[in-house]
Amino acid sequence: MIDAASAFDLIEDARMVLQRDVEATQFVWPRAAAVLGRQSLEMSLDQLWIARAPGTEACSARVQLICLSSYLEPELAGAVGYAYSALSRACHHHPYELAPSQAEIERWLDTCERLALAVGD
Amino acid sequence: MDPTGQAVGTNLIDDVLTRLDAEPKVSDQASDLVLGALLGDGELASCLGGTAPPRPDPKAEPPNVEPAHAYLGSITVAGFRGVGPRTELSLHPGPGVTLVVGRNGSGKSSFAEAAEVLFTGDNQRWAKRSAAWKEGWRNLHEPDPCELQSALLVDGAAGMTTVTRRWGSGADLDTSTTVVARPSSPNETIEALGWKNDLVAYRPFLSYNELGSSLEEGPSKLYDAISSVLGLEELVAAQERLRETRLAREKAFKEVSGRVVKLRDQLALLEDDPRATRCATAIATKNWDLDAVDAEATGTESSTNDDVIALLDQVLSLYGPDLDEVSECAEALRSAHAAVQAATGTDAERALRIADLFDQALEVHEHDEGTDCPLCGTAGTFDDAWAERARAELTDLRRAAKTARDARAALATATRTASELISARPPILEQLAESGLDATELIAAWDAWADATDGDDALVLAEHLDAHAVPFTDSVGELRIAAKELRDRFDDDWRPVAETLAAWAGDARGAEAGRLKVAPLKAAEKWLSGAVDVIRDERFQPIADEVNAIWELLRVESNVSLETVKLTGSSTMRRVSLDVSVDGQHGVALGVMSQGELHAMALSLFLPRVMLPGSPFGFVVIDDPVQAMDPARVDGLARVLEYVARRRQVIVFTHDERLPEAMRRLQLNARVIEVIRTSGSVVRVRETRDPASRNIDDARALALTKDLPERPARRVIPVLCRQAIEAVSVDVYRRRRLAKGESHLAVETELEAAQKLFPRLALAFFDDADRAGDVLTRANTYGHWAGDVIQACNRGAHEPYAGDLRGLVNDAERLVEKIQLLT
Repeated sequence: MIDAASAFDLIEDARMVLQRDVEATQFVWPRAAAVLGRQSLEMSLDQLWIARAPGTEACSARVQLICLSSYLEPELAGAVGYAYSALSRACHHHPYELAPSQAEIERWLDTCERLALAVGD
Repeated sequence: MDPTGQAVGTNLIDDVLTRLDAEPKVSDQASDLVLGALLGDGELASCLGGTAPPRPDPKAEPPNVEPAHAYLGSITVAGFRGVGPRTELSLHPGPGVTLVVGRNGSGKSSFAEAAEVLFTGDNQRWAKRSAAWKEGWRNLHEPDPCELQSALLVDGAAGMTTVTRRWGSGADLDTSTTVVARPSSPNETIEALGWKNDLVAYRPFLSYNELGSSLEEGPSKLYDAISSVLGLEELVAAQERLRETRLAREKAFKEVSGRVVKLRDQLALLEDDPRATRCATAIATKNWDLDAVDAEATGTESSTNDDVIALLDQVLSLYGPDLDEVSECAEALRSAHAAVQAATGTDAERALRIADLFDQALEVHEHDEGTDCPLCGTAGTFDDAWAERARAELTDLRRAAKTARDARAALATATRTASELISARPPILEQLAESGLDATELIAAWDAWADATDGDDALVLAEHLDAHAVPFTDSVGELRIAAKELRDRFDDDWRPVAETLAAWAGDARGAEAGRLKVAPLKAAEKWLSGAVDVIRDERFQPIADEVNAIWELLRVESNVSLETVKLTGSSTMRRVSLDVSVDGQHGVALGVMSQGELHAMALSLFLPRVMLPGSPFGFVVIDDPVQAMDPARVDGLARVLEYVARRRQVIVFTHDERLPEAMRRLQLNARVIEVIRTSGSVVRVRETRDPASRNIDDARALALTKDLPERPARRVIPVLCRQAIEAVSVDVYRRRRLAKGESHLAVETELEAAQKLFPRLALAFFDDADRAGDVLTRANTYGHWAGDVIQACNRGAHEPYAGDLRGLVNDAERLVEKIQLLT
C-alpha cells in the first residue's frame, strides 16, 4: 500500500471527482468515481472478513458475496451485492456498453458508505 | 442504386393531357371533364354546364431542378427536455455520418427532438401522448431560458443561416416565436424557409417510435406518408373532384327517387281526386312525366271534362234567372195581354184593307169630275162632302189597326222573353250522383220551371213565372253552395300535396339533368384513376428500387425478402403493398417479421424519401434506430447509413456502442459524439474515438491534470488503462472472427464469457480465452514493458499504482497499438 486511505476516504474521493467540472476530463469522472467506489467497497469487505471471519477475504468475490448475507442485514447485503457487481462491470470494458450515469454511481456510492459504516461499527 | 430524378418541375397536367390525347376510347365529353377537374372546381362546373374550359398552354418548366440542400451546422438546446443549461451539439454541415452516442437519459434524444421541434413546431413522438406527458417538455432543473437553435449551411449560399425557436417563461409548447437570420436578411420567421410542406413530404426526422408505429398505423397512413413525395396531389385532387361531383349527383337523384315513394303514398290517400290519380300515373314508373305533374300541381292546364272537379266547376257556373227580369217579364206579359184584349174587335187587317180602299177611292175622286159612285152608281154621293168624311174615316181606321198590331207585337216579345228565361235543364245534373252531390231537388225544381208548355195563355205564363222563379233560383243556389263546399274540400286536401309535388318536380328535373352527366363523370374518373396509377407507378419505381436496395443491406441474415413494393388502390383502399416472402414463400403478412425486421423495413421505406433530389433537406436525423436490432442487422444499418451519407448529412442518435463499433469495424467513416448528463441537467458533449483510444485519452488527461489529487489518480488511471487494453482486445477478436464468416451470435457469446483482462487478451492473441496463462509470455514478445503494463493494470484495479503514471499510460498506449495490428 502506498497510501493509507480508508474506505471512507475513497468514497469521499469518489464524490469529489463526481463534482468535477473541468473541460479536459469531464467525461472521465463517472468512471473514475466507479473505480474509487469499488475499491472502497473491497476495502470494507476485507475489513469485515478480517474482523469477523478471517480467511474469507482470500476467497473469490463470488464466494464473499454469498457469505455476506450471514454477516449483514439482508437488505444491505443485497444492496452491496448489486453495487459490487455494477461497479466491477463499470471498471471493465464491456462491448457496446456506455459508462454508467452519474445518478447510478451516486446510488452505488451510498451503498458503499452504508457498508463502510456497518463494518466500522 | 442511384435514385433517378423525380419529375420535379415537369408539368403534371400537361403530362396527363398528353396521355389523354393518346387515348381513343375516352369520349370527348369525358375528356373535357378530366380537363375541367384538373383545372379546378370552377372549371369542372363550367364543363358540366356545357362549356369546355380552354386547354392550358404547356408550361415550359426546366425539369429536375434540385433545390439547394440545407445542412445542420449545430443544434443548440437550452431548458428543453433533458437539457438544462444551454448546450451545443456541433456538427459538420455536409454529407457524412455523425453518431451521437449517449446512455438513455443522457439528453441525447433531447437534441433529436429539439431539431424536430425547432423546424416543425411539433414532435411526432409527443403528438400521440397525453397532455400530462407533454407537459414535461421543459427542463425541470432549468426551465428558463427555453430555446432551440440551429445553424444551417445552405448549398450555394455564403454564411450560415440561424434558426431559433424560443418560449417565454411559462409559455406552452404551442406558443413559441421563431427567428430565421440569414446573412442577407437577419430577421424573418420560420415560414421564410418555405419548408412547411417539404417537412411533411420529405420528413428528415425518423425516431424509433415512429419507425415502430409506421407499419402498424395501417396501410393508408403508410401510403400517405410515402406517396406525398410523389407530388401527385394535383391529380389526386382532380380525382376527388370528379368523384365528389359524381357522388353529389347520384345522391341528389337517389334523394329525389326516395321522395317518390312517399309521394305515391300521399297521392294514394287522395284517390277520389282525379288530379291525384293522374299524378300517381305520371310517377308510377321510373320514367316520370314531370310535365304532367307540373300541370296538375300548378293547375296551369284546364282539367278535362269528365271528372268530378270538372263537373263541380260546371255546377259552380249554374245560375237561376234574375228575379227582377222574371217579374218584369211577367208584368210585360200581363200588360201585353191586356192591350191585346183591349184591341179585340178591331180586325186590324180588315181595317187596313178598308183604309186602303178609301185611299184608292179618294184618288179616283180627285181625278173624277162626276159625283156618281163609280162602284154602285148611286148619283150624287161621290162628292166632296163624301171625300171629307172618307178622309176622317181613313185616319180612324189606321190608328185602330196600329194599336191592335202593337199589342200583339208586345205580347209576342214578352212571351219570347219568358221562354228565354225558362232554360232547359242541363244534362250534367243527372251525372252528379257519382260526385256526391244530391241534385234531385234541383232536377224537380228545374223541370217544374221548364214545364211551361201550356203557357199559350199569357196570363198563365206570367203566373208560372211568378210561381216558380223563386223556388227554382233558390234550389240552384243551394246546389251551388253544396258544390262549392265539395270543391273546397278537394282543394284543401290537394293543395299541400300539390305544393309538395311542385317542389319535388322542380328537384326531380334538376336531378334528372344532373344524372345525365353521371356516366361521363364515371368514365372520366375511371380513366383518370388509371392514368394516376400509371404515373404513380412510374414515379414510385425509382423509390421502390431504392427501398429494395436498402432492405437488401439491412436484411442481413433475415430470411424475409422483399419482392416488390407498390402503392396501390385509391381513396379508402389506398395502401402500400409489400410483397414479402419468407424462405421463398410468398404473400406473407408483416406479422411474421420480428420487431427488428419491422424497424429495418420501416427504415427501408423511409430512407429513400430523404434522399430524393426534390428534398431541400441535406440532413436526416435518426433517433435510436438500433433498438431491437441484432448485431448482424446493425452491420447492415452501418452500411445503409454510409450509403445515405454519400449524399446526405446523416445524424444518428444511439444509446449504445453497437453502431459506432460496427462502423469502425467495417471501416466506414463516422464521426462519433459522446453525450453525458450530470447533475442539474448539465449535458456535456464531446467528439470521441474508439473506446480503447478514448480510455487512453482519458487516462492521459488524468495523469496530466493538476486538478486531481494523487490518491484518486493512482487508483483510477490503471483502471482506465486496463479498459483500453480490454477494449482493443475485444475489437480485434471480434473483427477477426467476423471476417472469417462466423456468426455475430457466436462471437458475442464468447466475448460475454470472457469478462476479464487476461481471458480477453487470450482471445486477442490466441482466439482462445482459456489460454490466459500464455498471455504474459506472448505480450513479452513485444518487450518486457508489455507484460509489466498488463500486470500493473490488473493489480491496479484493486490497489493504487505506485509507479510513474504517465509512463504507465504511454506503455498502455503502445500495447493498444500493438494489439490493434494483430490479424
